[in-house]
Amino acid sequence: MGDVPAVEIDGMGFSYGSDRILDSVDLTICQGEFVGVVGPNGGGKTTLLKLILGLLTPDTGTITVLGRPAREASREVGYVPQQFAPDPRFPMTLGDVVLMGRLGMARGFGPFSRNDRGLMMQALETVGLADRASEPYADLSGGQRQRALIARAVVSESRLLVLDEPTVGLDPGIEREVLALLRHLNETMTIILVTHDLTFVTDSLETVLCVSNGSVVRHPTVALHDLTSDLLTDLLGGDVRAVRHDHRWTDAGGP
Amino acid sequence: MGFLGALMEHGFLQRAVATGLLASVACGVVGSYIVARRITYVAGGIAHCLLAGLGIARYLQVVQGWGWLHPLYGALAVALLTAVVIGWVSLHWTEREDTVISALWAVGMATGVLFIARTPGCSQDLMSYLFGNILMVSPAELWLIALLDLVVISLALVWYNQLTAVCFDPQFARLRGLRVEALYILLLCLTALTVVVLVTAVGLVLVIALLALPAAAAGRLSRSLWQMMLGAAALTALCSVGGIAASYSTDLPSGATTILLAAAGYLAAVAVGYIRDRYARQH
Repeated sequence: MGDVPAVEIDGMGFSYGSDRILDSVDLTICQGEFVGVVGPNGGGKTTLLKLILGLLTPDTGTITVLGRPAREASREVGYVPQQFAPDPRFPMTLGDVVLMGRLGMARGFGPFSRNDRGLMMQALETVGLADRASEPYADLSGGQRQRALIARAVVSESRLLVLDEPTVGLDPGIEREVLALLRHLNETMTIILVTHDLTFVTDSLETVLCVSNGSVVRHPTVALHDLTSDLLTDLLGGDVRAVRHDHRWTDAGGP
Repeated sequence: MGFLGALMEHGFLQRAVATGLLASVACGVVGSYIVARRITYVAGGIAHCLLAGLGIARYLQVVQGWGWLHPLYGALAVALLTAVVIGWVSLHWTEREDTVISALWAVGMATGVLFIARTPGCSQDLMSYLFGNILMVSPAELWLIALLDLVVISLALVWYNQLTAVCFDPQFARLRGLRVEALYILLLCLTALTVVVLVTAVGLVLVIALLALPAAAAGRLSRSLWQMMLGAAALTALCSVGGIAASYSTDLPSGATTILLAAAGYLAAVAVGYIRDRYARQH
């Protein structure tokens, strides 16, 4: 996939007003990696994503994405937002939504080309929704909408996919489908995934970025049964206590 | 003589119908954007500010002898200026957006009323500006409306995908490299031009209803934005011509009749949509 890192951050700092969110962050994500981003709420996970996407500009340091400054590379990055809930009365078909991912690829105006529409159908086939292209987006279920947003992100032929908690609010079965789809996409692209799902992190990923207290720490993932209270506190913030059980009822009548 | 017979015979009726049809196309296209984006109140602000442009231009025309300055030119200038100001406030000063729109709304009306009061023999103009008088459209006004219509439709269709993305998901549009702020201002300028076109048909007080009702009715039954635009344009055309016909036959005000027909169309679309949704849930 090339020698240029997917993301290279050097001495980056960012503040919202007087609140220092990230401080002196150094980080490299190689192409082909599938990286989970975890950390406590308000710890700076979404801010880190927005900086990588070029939606925010760092106060100090630099961010290079696919060999270029983050803001210039944004068209080459696919993005799936957290809980995107458009106006249900906005008349858009699933195909219309996915085609939005082709904006900015060629002409600045005019209709989408036949090639754009072909790529839209390919993206929908990848996520298993090719037969629903002409249905209203608002009529899709939560899991189908998330898959549609993944299709919108990959239709731009991006090499880097960034997802902000794409499985929040989904049933466990649908969540597994989405995560299996991401593992499939990781065969051809780099993926950065913000998540609270430690089961997925420990089962499927080799690397976790923990964003907390202004810093970003790279951890190799560990097996679920090796998670300790200290490591969970580090990953999730607050005072977290690990409790193990074997899913059998105890004498006290509780699990 | 029936309406169709009169239409063949009278030039003023032909101009009225032509104005109604031209206004319908711009109204369907731009009305769909502003209903989908939920910014009809912005269109209301721009429409009411127009009275300042109409009043000032009429004053300069009558009192200062600037014969070339048609009131619609003044309306056009003020509408575009208001659109840019409201757009800038929406993008950079969101916590005061409603206050600024309300202030512009009232200040525009007040300025227009003052200039009209200082213009001899213009009290009749005030009523036609407020409620429209499509039967009085002159050939020169019809050409200006046709030109504005062409500009609105061309720009709206050329940037259809971009404007749709900005209305549906501005953050994603920005990530795709679109100039979201510039496109939003473009949308408001198209709204301003459409409002100028519609003022002659229904007057500035009723403009919001004609922009919103047909588009909302069509949106209830559409799967995509372009379907909504086609439906809204067709319904607006039906209501405009129906309003003119009713006005000719019964001597009722055409603008008010057009709006009531649009309201009836909206209620019918809501009822059809409700029945369709219920049927879909049961099967």
